[in-house]
Amino acid sequence: MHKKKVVLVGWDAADWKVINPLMDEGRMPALEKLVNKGVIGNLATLDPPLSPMLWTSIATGKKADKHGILGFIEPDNINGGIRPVAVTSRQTKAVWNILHYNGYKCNVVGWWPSHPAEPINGVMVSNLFVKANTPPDSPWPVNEGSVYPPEMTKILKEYRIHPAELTQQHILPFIPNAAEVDQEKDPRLASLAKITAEAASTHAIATWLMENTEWDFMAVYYDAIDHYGHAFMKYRPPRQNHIPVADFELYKDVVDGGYIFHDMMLDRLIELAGDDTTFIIVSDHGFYSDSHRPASLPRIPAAPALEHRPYGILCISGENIKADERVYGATLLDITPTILNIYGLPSGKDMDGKVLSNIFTDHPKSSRIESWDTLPGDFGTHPPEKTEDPVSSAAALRQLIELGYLEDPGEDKNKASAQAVRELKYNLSRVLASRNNYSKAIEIIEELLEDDKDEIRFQLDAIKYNIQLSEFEKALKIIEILKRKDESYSSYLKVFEGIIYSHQNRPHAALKMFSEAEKGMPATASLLQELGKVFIRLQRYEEALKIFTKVLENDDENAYAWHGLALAQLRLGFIQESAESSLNAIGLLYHFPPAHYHLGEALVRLEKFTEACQAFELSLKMNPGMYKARRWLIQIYEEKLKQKEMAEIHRKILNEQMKGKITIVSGLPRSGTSLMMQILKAGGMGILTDEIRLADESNPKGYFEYEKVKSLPRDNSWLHEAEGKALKVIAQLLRFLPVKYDYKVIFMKRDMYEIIHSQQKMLGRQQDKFPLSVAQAFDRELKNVEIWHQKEPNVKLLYVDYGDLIDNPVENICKINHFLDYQLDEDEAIKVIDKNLYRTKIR
Amino acid sequence: MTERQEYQSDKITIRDKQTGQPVEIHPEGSLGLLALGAVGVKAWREARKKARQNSNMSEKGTEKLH
Repeated sequence: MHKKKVVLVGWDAADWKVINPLMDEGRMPALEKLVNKGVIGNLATLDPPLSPMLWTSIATGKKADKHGILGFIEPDNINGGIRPVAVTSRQTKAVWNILHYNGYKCNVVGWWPSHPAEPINGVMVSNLFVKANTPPDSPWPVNEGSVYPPEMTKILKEYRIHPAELTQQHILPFIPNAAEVDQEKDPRLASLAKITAEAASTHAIATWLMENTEWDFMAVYYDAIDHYGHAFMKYRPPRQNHIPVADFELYKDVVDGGYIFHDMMLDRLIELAGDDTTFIIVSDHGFYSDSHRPASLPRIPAAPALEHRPYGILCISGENIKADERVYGATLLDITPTILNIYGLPSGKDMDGKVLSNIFTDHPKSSRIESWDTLPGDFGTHPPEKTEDPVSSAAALRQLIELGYLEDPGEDKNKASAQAVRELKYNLSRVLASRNNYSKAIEIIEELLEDDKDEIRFQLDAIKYNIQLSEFEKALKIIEILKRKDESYSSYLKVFEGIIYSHQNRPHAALKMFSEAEKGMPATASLLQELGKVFIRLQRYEEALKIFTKVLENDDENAYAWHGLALAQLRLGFIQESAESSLNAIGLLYHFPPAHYHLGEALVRLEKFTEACQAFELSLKMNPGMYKARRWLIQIYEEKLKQKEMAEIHRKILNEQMKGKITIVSGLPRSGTSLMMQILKAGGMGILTDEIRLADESNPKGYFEYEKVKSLPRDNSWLHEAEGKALKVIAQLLRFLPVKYDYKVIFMKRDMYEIIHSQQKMLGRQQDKFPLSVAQAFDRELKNVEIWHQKEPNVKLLYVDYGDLIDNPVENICKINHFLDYQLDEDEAIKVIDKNLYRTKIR
Repeated sequence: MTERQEYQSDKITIRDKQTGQPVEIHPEGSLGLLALGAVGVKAWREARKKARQNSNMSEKGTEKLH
């Protein structure tokens, strides 16, 4: 058996939206060859989309809070000030360290960050080696520590190409009219030369190593596509209104030229690697190339990252890889586990990514170990005490400043260092938020705000995270401060207010706020999506459908909009279309449990029960708390697929999940408790009733009572029967509920006059007489309920006003469903509410 | 850019992939040579060096004539 060989090629910011038309025109034949005999897909990026963090995630399979690379720069603790982020700050092993440990020879060229070069079994050339920041005709020293083994430096430095070496032959393919550029005034030509020279240097070194060393694994990182993008994407056709015609004509071909140049370089890598090599081409994020290109960038650190599109590229081609297929749901985190799998090595359980098992024709067995980080032995990493030479970092730092990623810190080293720490902390907060760890994220943001209370990024994130943590008052307080400070924020802040109302299940109020916001700001995708979500809540599906269609007309790669459209289509009865929209959403964003769930619902309606089960199972794998998906599975396995065992497995899990949790419907007699029980039943919840008390004229749809409840004060031994279900308990008996269970109490409130009136009628008594003493007793009972609620930590209580429930069923059912962790099918639940039953209404 | 040349390396002789004939390396270089990597860079620099030497010799020859 021959040895496995893998080449991992990193093209920073490469985007299918630019590549596809070029491939269609036959202008990227090398990549096209790999695409045709391999699998391709989008590679979902991570937040924040900053390259050193992302490329380290690609190389480790871990998010930045685990791998420790948190930005472009870091404080230089030896010389003061700052330095470009160094590989010595990485807290975990990269794929090449794991391969080294397992005896494979690796060459790594230019990875960001990889300085100082690690002592691996092979050659590592750091990202600082090719940086050319010295003037022409002056010495171009090699950055110390940028090559391992150091003796390779002498050979490899001969393959560095200084920008001043390039001639018109290298420039004209990008800028045919370069002669018209006044280089004294226009630095763009020099910028192009520098980007191109550094890419060519990286490539020359990589090819030399491929030809002249033994290797099992090559990783080559090219940053040029990102740099061409930041400098020249604004000039790419179609011309944007704010771009002068002369500039457009001069620079319109640069980006496409850059892609074609990379394809030519890829062709050479393929040629040198040989047919038995697996190629993996990845980018860390995409780059907006159409109407989404921002006209200007705000003056904030890392602002150019706003030009990054959230999907990078993935193409894998080689032996045992499926041909001409698509891979869905891949993220940057999956690359390292997949490479390890190709070599037959296990991934670490501490890795955030997964093996892309669907890419293989014959999937090699994949296994996992606890962690590669805890194993003793030689991994080709730096010793812990290793530090970086900060002087050698200066050139790379200068480049980052020139590209606009960094503010020029000037001479004040302390200030620069403090700024760097601030940004690293801020980036960490965003990584934690991306893990839904909002409580940790807000801790960091609040700490940052203590030092810099006016920083708008921190304030906006504080609003977002407080909303996620249901700390609405805190969020509103910040909104108020910002409103007072700057009126221009007003519309954007209204969007946040609308989101708060949405979270509070007040869709009408949210709709009002979003509509007001829309008048004062461009209808951004995020605003339209929020509007669409509110229309769904309000069951205004036609309007939701229009909104999501509008979002998709502008950006057909918006997974959330596809999901919103799918939901609207599902409710409007366009079932096939809904399934297709859900699939589109999943294709763009695989880890999207609600999209899988609603696909499942559509497939049930299409009577594709096996496929529906697959969709529900996937949604549960991603979010085991989706009780509704499990209820669907029980029903389908039992009734449609006749797989009683599978149904039983899910029933058992559901019972286990619901163990110890009881939903109580309570209130005074005749306050609407029976109606609430009907709603819960119709919404899909299990209810505990013995039907001893039959329906009658007072409650024509039944009482949903359970006889044993009456004995609650002296016997609660039967209460386990109610676990995971809803049980009706009148207000007077609530205090007898034992503490060993967790209760969610839906307490029905109704106008006291209506209650008494209804009771009198039911008892056949005179309805015109009002028994004041009874009313006073009931009032006391309500106060007792509140006291009981406040002292019982195992009780969560939601008041529902009966009259309001009848008048505003949508908002109330939303609120109830939120309270019950979305166990209800809202549409079915709402159908129960019959205004005709609201007979005893006092106006 | 669209009609790219294809090369094959044979030490420092660059050959056309289709015809197998040696390709003349222009001292000004090309993106194609850069894309060839180490071999292309080396060939380009040799061609440049040779061109410079020829230019120097030619200048010296002219001096002698005068």
